[in-house]
Amino acid sequence: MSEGDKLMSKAESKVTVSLFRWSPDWEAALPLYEQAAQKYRISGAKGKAAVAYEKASFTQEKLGSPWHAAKHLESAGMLAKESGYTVAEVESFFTRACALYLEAGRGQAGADALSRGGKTLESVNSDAAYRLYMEAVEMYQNEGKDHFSLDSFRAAINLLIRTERFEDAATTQLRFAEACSRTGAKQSQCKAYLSAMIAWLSEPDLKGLPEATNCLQDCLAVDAFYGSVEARAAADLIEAYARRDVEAIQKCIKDDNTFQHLDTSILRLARKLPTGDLGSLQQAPLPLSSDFGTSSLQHQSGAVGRGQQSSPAIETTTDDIDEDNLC
Amino acid sequence: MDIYDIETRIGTLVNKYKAYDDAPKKERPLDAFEDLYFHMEGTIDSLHHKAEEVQLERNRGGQAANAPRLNAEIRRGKAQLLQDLPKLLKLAKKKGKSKGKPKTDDQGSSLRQSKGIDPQELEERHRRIADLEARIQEIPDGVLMSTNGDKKKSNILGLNNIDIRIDAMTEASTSRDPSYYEHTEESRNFKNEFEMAKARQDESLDEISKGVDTLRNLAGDMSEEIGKQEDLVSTMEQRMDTVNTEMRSVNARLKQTLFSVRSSRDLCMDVTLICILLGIGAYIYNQLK
Repeated sequence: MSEGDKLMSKAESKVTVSLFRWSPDWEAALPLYEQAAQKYRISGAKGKAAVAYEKASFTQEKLGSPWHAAKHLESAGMLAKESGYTVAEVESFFTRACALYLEAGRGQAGADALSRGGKTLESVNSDAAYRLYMEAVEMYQNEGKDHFSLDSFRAAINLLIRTERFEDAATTQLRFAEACSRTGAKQSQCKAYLSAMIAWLSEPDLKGLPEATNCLQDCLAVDAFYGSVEARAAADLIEAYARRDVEAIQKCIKDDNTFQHLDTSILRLARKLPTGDLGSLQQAPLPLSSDFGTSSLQHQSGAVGRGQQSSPAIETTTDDIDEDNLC
Repeated sequence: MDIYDIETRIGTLVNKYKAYDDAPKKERPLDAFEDLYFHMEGTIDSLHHKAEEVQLERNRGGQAANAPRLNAEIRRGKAQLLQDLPKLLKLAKKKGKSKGKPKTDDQGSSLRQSKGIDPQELEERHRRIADLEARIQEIPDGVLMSTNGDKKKSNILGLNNIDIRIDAMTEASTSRDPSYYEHTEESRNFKNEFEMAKARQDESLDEISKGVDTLRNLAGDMSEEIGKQEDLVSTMEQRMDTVNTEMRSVNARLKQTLFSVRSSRDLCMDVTLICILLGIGAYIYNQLK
């Protein structure tokens, strides 16, 4: 038997009720559990270490120290992820840790725990990780510490972009911008708006173009965004899209320095613009609409979808027109 | 008044009252030609003096207030002299005898015997008349004269007197000449150089603009970070204040506890004894080593 196992059995014996022990001896069991967990971790038995940490946390709870209990649960959660526990179980570790932190009156620490949980689960399950990040953000907001939430937001958005969930990324960016406006971080706010538009435009087949345009209209009503360089860059980009000018889109992104200052993941997305069917973009040149209203652009995006089939018809009619002019 | 002023003032006065000198510079001429010539010379001198006076006023600095009046008088004098020149020319052909010595000859009027004048003397007189004319023309009267074909005087700056003419209707005017507006080789080169310099400047300005943009971005990020840190630091400050207060109170309580357990004198004794014991222990250890 390894040392860890010995310590565990000793600890178990301390807490089991028997004829000679009428109530569990939590105080004696606690150090045994903690040492066992450390031994297991050093020896590489991560599953057993997770169990030991969980038991230590339970002991701490019984001893009335929720903060330490939460710390142990966090350690247990991180080890559990590596030792084949299910995603739900790992998630539950972190949420329980957060609850314990709240019990201890440390809401911010709870939010930090959720954020760490999200980071742990990123590589395993993006949905669970995103949920944990968003819960962390909400907790930060409840605590009134919005500026701590910015890092969680960034991590969540990067995750969504990696998994190509552009619409979710865009909506998260808008929430991020809202948090920035609360903390007075105007530059980050403007960048978040621009990033949201880029995320929408990164959707395949220009599905997000109407949303991006609406977003621009809404954002221009925000004082902080209105006079910023990001607003100008966004307006140029949307206008280039409205003109269906591929070169203008690429030129806009390449030449304008504003895009270079965005987050790396967003910049990578921007450099790939315009996404979607380039053929349909080029073959169906639509007249420049000065009105960025929803109705006109939905009509145009519909026309783009039909562009492939109607383009031969368009070409023949233009030939006819030319012939008529020659006559 | 400095010495220069005194000197010029003396010169002016002497010249002004030269006529009253006992010893005249030259003898009075004896015939009409000479008479008129002498008179004209005197007028020329007086006009020169007036011109010098104007120049003096100007050199002293500022505007010469009497310059217009004096210049007008000079010009009138010059005009009069120029009118007298034909008379002089006529008189040059006559040779008049002298009237005689005025003081010695009281008895009779001298008869003027008009003799034929020598051609040489005539030529000489004509030359003198030409000189006189040149001298008249030379008198500065405040007017810029167009010297057609003459040698132009250069002023202090070393520039020649340029003849300024405002005339929009002459055929030689550049604005009516279409070839004036066409490109020459020189102008083309200049324009190219200008365009190139402008393009270089634009490039440099673009680089500067990028740099400024980056700086702005950095500054914005730093400002946001500092805002975040400020909140953290203020929270930490509050907590540290709490901890400090607690530490102080704990220390006070500990001190009280120690005193109650053992008095300070006993404590010192204890400490001293412990040190002695340690010293003995170390000595024994050294001995045994």
